[in-house]
Amino acid sequence: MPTPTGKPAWVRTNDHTAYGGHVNKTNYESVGTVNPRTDLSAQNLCRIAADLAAIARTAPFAIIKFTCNDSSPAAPTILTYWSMAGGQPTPSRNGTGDVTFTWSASYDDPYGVAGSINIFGTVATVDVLSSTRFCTTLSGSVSARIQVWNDAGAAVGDQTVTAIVYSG
Amino acid sequence: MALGGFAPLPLPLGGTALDGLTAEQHARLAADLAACVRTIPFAVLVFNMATGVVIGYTAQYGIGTSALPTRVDNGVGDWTIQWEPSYLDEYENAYPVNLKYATATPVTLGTARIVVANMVDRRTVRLNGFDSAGAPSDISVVLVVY
Repeated sequence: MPTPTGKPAWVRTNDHTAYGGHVNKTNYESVGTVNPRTDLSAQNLCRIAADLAAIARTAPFAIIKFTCNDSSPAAPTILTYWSMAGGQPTPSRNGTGDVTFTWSASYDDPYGVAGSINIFGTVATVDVLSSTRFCTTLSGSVSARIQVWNDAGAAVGDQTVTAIVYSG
Repeated sequence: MALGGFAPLPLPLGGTALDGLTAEQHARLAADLAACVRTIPFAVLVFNMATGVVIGYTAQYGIGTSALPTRVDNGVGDWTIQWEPSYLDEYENAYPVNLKYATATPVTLGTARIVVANMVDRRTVRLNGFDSAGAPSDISVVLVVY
């Protein structure tokens, strides 16, 4: 198994060279694509490398939808979860409308290359209609804490929330 | 199918999973990359309105302090964030900034806070932070722009 160049995407250190791009990359003997249906040119590869480097810098590490369990106090229920790597984080309940998700310190990519987790920001929105609800968040290095509020400034329980987590 | 010096670019599509890139694989790569390009954020900024200190920043054109947009403090809980008209890609081609969406969340625990992100123009976002009574408040925020 080859060891890929660079680090996994969520470490956010790869530039275009990690994907095969190079500012002076050229087609062999400057002979371009003979058939665009069968060939990948240096120009094609450079565009792929630059675009992939760009989107890898800002792609969310994880998107998580969950419901707080406050009437019967328990850790929140994860409804859906997408992430760049690894399984679901560990959910925990801190209080009414107050939850924390904790990830491992590092995950491997499909080639076994480890990438550390460093969560620096979380955006969260309450899934609700006809009432004012909003979230505040605080990100630790491997955790995201999310609180749900109403317009009176009181914590609100049993809400469903979508959170987008950024690591890098 | 050999690669590198034996089969330099243009790369003929084909071969096997072990030594080539098939047309089908390339088609999937191209389609998925194009799909991601359409929806990926342009930038993610985490900063403190009270101090102006940046907690984290990443953008499609670069990461960290050297890539930061201009940040202007307009008053309590009121900041303007502005990006350059264009940025260079790795091949030094300039592409204009054309922001369409902005979303933000307060970074705080134990107190209700609200932040509103308003698109001023295609490269400028104005952020207003409030407490739960609706009064302007300097808070920390996560801003994501597309």
